[in-house]
Amino acid sequence: MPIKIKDGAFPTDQVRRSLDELPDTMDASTNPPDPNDLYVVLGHERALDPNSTLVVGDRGSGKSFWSAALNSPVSRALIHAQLPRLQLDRVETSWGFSVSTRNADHPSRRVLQCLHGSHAAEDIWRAVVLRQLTSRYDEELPGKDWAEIVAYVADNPEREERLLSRIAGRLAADGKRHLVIFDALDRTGSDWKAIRALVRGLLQVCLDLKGQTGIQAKVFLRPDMWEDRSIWQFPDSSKLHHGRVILEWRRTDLYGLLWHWLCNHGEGAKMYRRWLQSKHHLSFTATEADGAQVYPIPAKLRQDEDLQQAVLHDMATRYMGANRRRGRTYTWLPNHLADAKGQVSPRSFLIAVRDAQRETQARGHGEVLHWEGIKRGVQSASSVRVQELREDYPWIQTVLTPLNGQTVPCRDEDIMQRWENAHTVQAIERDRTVTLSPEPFGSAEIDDERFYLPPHALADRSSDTPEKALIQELQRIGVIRRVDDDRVDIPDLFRVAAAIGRRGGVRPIR
Amino acid sequence: MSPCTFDDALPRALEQIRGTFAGIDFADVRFIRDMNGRVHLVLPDSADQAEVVAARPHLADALGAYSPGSETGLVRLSDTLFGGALMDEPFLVQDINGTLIRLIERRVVGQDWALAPGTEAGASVVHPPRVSFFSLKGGVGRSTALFLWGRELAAQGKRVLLLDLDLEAPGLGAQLLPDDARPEFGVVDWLAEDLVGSPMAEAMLVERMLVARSPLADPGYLYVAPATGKRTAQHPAGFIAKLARAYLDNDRGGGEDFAVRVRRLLGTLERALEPDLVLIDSRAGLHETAAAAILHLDADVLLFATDQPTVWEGYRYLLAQLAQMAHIHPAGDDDWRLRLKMVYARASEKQGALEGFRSRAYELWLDGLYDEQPAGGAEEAFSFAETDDAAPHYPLQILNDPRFEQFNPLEHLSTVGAAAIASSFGPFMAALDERVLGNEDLEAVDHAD
Repeated sequence: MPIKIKDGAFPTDQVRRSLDELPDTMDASTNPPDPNDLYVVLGHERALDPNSTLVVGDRGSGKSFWSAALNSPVSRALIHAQLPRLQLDRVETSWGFSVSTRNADHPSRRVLQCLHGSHAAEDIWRAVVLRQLTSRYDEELPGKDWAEIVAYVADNPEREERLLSRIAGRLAADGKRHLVIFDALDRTGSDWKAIRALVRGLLQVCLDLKGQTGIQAKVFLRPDMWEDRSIWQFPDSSKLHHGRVILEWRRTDLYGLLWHWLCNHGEGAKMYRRWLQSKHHLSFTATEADGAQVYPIPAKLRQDEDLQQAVLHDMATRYMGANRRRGRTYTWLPNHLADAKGQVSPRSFLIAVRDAQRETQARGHGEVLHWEGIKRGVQSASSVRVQELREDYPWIQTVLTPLNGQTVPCRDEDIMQRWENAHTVQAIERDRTVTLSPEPFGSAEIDDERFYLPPHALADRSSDTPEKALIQELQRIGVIRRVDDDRVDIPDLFRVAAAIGRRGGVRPIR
Repeated sequence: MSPCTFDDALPRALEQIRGTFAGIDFADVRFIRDMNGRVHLVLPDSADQAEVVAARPHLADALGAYSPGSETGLVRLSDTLFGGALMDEPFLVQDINGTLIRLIERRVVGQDWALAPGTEAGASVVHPPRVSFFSLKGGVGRSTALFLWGRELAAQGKRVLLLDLDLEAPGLGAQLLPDDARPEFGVVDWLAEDLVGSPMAEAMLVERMLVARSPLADPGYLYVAPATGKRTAQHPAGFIAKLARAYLDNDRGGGEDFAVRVRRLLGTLERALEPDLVLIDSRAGLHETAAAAILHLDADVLLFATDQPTVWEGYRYLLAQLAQMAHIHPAGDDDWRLRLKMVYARASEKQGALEGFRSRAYELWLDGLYDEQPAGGAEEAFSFAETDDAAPHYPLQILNDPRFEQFNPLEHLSTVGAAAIASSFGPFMAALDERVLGNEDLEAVDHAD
């Protein structure tokens, strides 16, 4: 039964404005997130748990976001308030690696490269961990430069271990823990060979630390790196490998993120909360963070699909057309933003909603989100997603462009033929060598001048043709899905933006 | 040249015409396949008569037994009996190696397979939602699903009418009505009486001699119009003879075929009983009468399938037939294809079983009834991704449960618990509630305490 509204009508204008103000991009940075933007995703609890060492996530799934959040006391307190089981109030953190080139906690890529010339990767990372701990917990470490510290660790394993246990013991006695966070590991080197060696060393250190109470490491890793066998070639690696946590966004998490924005952003947030209170009987309790009030959304609104649908229907058309057989908006939207692995990036979800609102308003519909607008929003989100992917996989456009005009599902050979005709593999190789030559400026705070990393599979293939390896790589990163043994399909998210058609038995005549 | 077969006839005819009349627009050409399968060709009047005459013997040669004779096989529009009226006749569209040809099918019976949905006279009459349950074979749980959903709706206070059109293998009556509760007549009787214009046909409907309420849904309103009633039970020797008449066209007006007659029967029942919903048990298999339930009752159509090669083969034939009607209708929210929905019956709970079914269904629909979607644009094309749960190929699912094998509601309903029904049929029924009736979960709207 519909509820009678006591406190006036739905705050349409406020919600429109708030959606309109959703930002275009989320830059990878080490800056702590704005407390108002921090939505504690219930499904990410295990990823945030200090006991989970390895967290694997696609581009845009929140690796850098959570790294930065865990490294900020304000954000940690906010997370703690909502997920007290994790006991983050007893945790101190520091950076083991990040996108920043000026972080005193860890060496930059250039320094790493230099160190790696003369030292084992394991020793380098042990030194990184040790230095953070000594500087924070009143211990002395001989040497100032990274080179000296690494050399010390390499030459004095016993002393290093003693020092580490002493700090760990003290932390444990105080009931505290220290968490060293490693992000952006694809920026540790300029080619896969170097990166692999460094990551392998880091994972060995992580495994050692697992035996240490009081000191913990957390590594955020790309899925293509996690699947790379060569970084796991060390004893007992399976303990880490199998224990990994995947950063995924379930449907409820995506909508939760949207309500969190509407309940916390700008002038309209208060009115929207009041609406939710009167219509859906949801109450909000503010949490103080850094002098600001944050309103975490109620648990029911985070996980109850029925409630989420009802809340969506306040502002959106219920179905994706005049005919309800066109599908429910609530499921249609995330469904059409999903990659081949069924994953949706939160950024593309928010952009889709933002642009859906803009298009809906431009067409003069009364709802905040009309299905016509939503279809358009999904289209613009698809180009956002390709751009996001390009950050991690700079070759993605090179690979997609020759597929322009192809129809799917199609055979592997059709795709490989197009790449051969377009000399795609050679183009990737050329881009790699061209981007490799100039040394990037060291002045930028963020290491944006990244080296061109070719597809992972190309750098390490045994018998397959490079084109076959490319198909596997696209499958791994969710751009194509395998229909059966010799055919592939491309989800709408990438298909439309790449001007790829879909096969069909009917050619309409009008 | 090898002798022409049925399948060769249209491509060979096309080949001949293209060779002789270069640049002809096939939108102006009609291919006519007569009752025996022979192919006639009608060209626009702009075709040169001398060329037409010259082409005739070559066409007759190419078509062999499928040529109706060289004189009548190839003519210009004005030289036909029908003249310009021929261009207004409904046609199918066949894609022959990339050329779309317009084909007029002349059949003895079963014209229903050659007419696109929504083109019937009186198609726009307002009526309660109708849902046809179709399967290629029996024994997949189609009637059970129909009954259980109907009963569920009746329990919610809806008035539901179940119509048995599975006339060759009638089941609903025996399964849902005890012998003494059967109506006097059944659908087969009505069709036989209606054929000769007997006043009894009208009387059956008005006086409710064709329907009875099933005690299985008491106190709800679950009306059953079975294939046969008490009379046939008393005179079983007449059943097959009546059946033979059931499918014939009557001579009412210009003659009504099976679909038109059933539509009239249904409309009258709906006015008399005022049901909120009508569920139709279609005949299994690709019989001529299944065309009525699938295409011409303005119904949502559930296509029940088990995951077996023979089933997919049958559906390939069905969709290939329907595809010939899909070219001419603009895709939109009214597209009749949107009313079709696959049902994965006797579904396995095994890992990947649903995905396997879905993938095979997707292949089928891509090749059959989905529009080709060129790169960039064609937003309005009728096409879906494999994972789009709103798509016709994306199946509703009914989990296999041995308790529903050989299920006879009158005997077994009391022993099969509500939990078993809910676990096997629950999601299926909930999806239909929304799809057909637009019911969302009440919970989803009301969160007041």
